[in-house]
Amino acid sequence: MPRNNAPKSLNDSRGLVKSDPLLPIPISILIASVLTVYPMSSSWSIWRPEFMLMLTLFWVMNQPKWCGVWFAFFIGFLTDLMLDSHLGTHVLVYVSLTFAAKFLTRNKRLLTFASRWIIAVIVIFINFVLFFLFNRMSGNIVPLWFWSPIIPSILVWPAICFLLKRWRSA
Amino acid sequence: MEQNIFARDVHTFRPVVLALITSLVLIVADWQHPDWFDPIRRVTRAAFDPLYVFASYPVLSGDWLSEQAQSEDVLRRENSALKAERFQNNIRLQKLAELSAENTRLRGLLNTPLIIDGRMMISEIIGTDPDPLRHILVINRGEVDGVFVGQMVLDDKGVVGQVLDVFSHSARILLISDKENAISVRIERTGMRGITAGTGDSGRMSLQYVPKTADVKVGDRLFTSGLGERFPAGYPVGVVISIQREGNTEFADITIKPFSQLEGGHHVILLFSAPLAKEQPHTESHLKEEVTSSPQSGSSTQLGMRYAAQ
Repeated sequence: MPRNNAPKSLNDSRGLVKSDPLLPIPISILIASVLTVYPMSSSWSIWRPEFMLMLTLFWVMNQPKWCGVWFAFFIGFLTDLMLDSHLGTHVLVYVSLTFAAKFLTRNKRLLTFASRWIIAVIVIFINFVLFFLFNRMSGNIVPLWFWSPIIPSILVWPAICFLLKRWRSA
Repeated sequence: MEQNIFARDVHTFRPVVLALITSLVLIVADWQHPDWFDPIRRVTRAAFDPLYVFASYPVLSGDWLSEQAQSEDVLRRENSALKAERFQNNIRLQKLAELSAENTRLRGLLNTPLIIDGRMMISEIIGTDPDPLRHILVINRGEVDGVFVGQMVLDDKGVVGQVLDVFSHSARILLISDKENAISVRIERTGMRGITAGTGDSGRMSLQYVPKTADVKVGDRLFTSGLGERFPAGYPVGVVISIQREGNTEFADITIKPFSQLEGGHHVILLFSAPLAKEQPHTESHLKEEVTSSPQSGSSTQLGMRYAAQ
């Protein structure tokens, strides 16, 4: 990539030229989808973080010019296909959550790392509540471990921010 | 510049509404016509086939590590236990040979084609579905091994499920405990037919549409009946663990515990067997013959006979 050697001081400066996220977006989607479907035993599988949701949130909050509602729509559709869930459920949830994230950040000029993390936590909780409702509506029994990916999802946020820090907006 | 971005955000209200409406349309479309999306689902599944192949390498699974870490003493003990088990099984097999010979003679009397047990193939479980709420397993056998959709899957205790999707080197199995699975069964003691459905809980299934007055007891064992034209007849499914006859509905609420190890197993067996309808001691031609020969007796008695024999 041509802009690899951008100085570190750019991290806190707005309005300066940042690395183009054209390539990292599809690559990160690919890696997250592999992590989402990688076969594991069920005792591990229940702790799997919501990689796709966290990635959507990251790009939507950090590259709002590139990734918006239709990006969330696409990721939701992909997740529906991968998880073999009812088509449209993840789309609906991801689009609503993207809107929620944008709404929460609508008149904030400067977002610190902590404030983004808090927004991510709120969004994760809404995500699980919505899927809980979907499951109840379709008559599924929702066991207690349904909620277990919440903690790993919260913890995976800093990791995503670290790995993709070159494309962070602030 | 910042101003512009936020100004854009105000306008994004319209795309949000549009995207939400599109997703609702998708939900309704998939609900009414799930077959419309089959091609695209197949493409995505096939795209992940290499991933399943990669994950099936033994080094990458936790099993391999734990097996390597076992001490010699443990292996020695396991070996002697297995030898004892093999000895017992051999003795049982002797009896089975006798029984199957008898079965052949009896079937000969009934004038039905003999179905021998089909070929079996052992396969390893390499993963579960990414969605832990679905009861779906991924195994390391696929199209190249001759696996087909709807094939019956067993373990050493009983029926595990059926093949749902086949890819070139892997396949997905829908477990009998999945909410969307149902099997036609027969109660061993009375011969009564019924349908068991998964509940989404791997230790519990329900026997459906059984009248409250029906003769069912706790401890009754259930076997596949072969009537669904999917599973061969006579394989163990589960045992009745509780019966609730109270409530407003006219059907009893019967809970079944599956025999097979749906949560813990490492290997499953794929069964290549002829369709079960042939295994029933009355074929369509048989029935037609009798109806035409005695039209006066009425078809109800014929049907009665047919069901009684089952």
